[in-house]
Amino acid sequence: MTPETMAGNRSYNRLGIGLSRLMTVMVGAILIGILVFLVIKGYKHLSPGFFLHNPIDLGREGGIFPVLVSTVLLALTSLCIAVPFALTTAVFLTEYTRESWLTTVIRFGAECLAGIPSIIFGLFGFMLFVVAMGMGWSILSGGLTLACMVLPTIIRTSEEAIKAVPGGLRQVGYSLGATKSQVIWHIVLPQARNGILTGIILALGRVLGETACVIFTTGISLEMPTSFFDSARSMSVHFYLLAREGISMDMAYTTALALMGMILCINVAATWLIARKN
Amino acid sequence: MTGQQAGVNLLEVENLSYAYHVEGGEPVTALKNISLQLPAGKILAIIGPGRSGKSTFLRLLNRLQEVTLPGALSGSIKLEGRDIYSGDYDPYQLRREVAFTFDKPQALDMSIYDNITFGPRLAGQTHKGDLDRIVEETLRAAFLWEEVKDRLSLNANRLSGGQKQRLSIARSLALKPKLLLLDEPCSALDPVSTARVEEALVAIKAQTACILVTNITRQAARVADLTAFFLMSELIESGPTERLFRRPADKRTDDYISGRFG
Repeated sequence: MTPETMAGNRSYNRLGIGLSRLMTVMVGAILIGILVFLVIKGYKHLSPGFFLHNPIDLGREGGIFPVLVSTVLLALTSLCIAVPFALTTAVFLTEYTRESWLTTVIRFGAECLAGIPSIIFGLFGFMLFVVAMGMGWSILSGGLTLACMVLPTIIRTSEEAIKAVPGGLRQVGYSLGATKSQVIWHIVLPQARNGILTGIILALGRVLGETACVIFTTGISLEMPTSFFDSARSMSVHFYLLAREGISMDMAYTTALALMGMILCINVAATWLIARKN
Repeated sequence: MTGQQAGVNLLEVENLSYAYHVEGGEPVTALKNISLQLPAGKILAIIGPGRSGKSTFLRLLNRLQEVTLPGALSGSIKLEGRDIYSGDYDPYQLRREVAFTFDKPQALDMSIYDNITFGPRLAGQTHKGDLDRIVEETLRAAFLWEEVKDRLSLNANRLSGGQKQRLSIARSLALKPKLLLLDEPCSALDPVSTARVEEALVAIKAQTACILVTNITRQAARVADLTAFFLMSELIESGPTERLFRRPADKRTDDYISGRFG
């Protein structure tokens, strides 16, 4: 190799490293940019009262208390429905079936489910839960629809977590007189706990931020919900309506900032869990 | 012969042959026509090169093999005169009577205390006093008590490899087994830990007979009362350890224990 080509290689190398640095910085900048933008636009109304007071005049004044409660209720409802289904499916796929065309089909189906746009889920939930099953616009309809939406996420992560449990530990379980279900319940699931939790937390983040399918299934009522059959308004829907209907851009930004903060906290928690697992 | 039932062997294996199924292929023979007896209170070492069927043999003795890999078995294995493969023998009960310790030290992701009481609790023992006693007895028997007695609530994964392996032995003993099977228990351990494990085996053998699969020929010579030599799915010979090492009846045994084996 001549000195010229070596020098050429070196400068290409430098160029590559520089480019990849630049790209990485830009990715970080997008996140920071959005956050800074939201903080600048939204911090004015941010106060404990914003979280604890009822909205006044469609949300032009006051706080978001019922919206916050509805958001949390909606998220918990959907996870309480989705987690048992997803976990049993994941256990079935990993522990009770051999790889076959059936598992391939189920897995492929779950993956397709993950790729469906959320507004389609909204339409589906509206037709099935709201209209056909007569639940109306309600937290229950929304929770069921959101549950369908996050099922694949939880199934996928739980499956990976269960597969990562060393086979030797199952053998130890059997060698101590455990039955298959005891091995799964007492050894496999506790061992996979962190991975499963991470999946659930990621799903929680998605559920909290979901807008389209919530409008279709939970409605937009600003009242404090008193049962699962009441219509309610989630934070993302509240933000959408405040901005879209021109009610108050200031309040919209503050709502967005609060929602963003919540989801960010949840993602940080998820990352921390993964790190602790390793 | 020692043990509770003098005259009756604890374990009797007769004409045992075994082949495991391979998906879409011919079954693979793992054991051919093995016959072997073990009286109570003794340690039997099984030596032989890799892939000679030693581990499979061990895993058939408490029906652990069928959990992972199905196969076809002929001949009989009797524990205290009862055929363990007969329909009325509960395999879960069998695995409490014939405990197993694996080659890789493996702790369940729970405290030391919970690791040891895992088996008894599954079997329905809940009395705290009984469980406490089991923990102390078995940890003492495995020579681990002094090292961990002040931190029984520590997660067992924080122990060293040698400690984990002795914990595994204690965990097996907590089932109060009649027979303890050990599959190369020292293959991942340093010499000091190995010595401690061997010490533990010799100490417990009066209560619990052991079958020890080992790749360390000298380990067999050190701890075993009886030794069996497996080669290519067959039992070449078995007998009192001293006799087998001093005057092997078969030339292949002689070649193996003197290290002239290709």
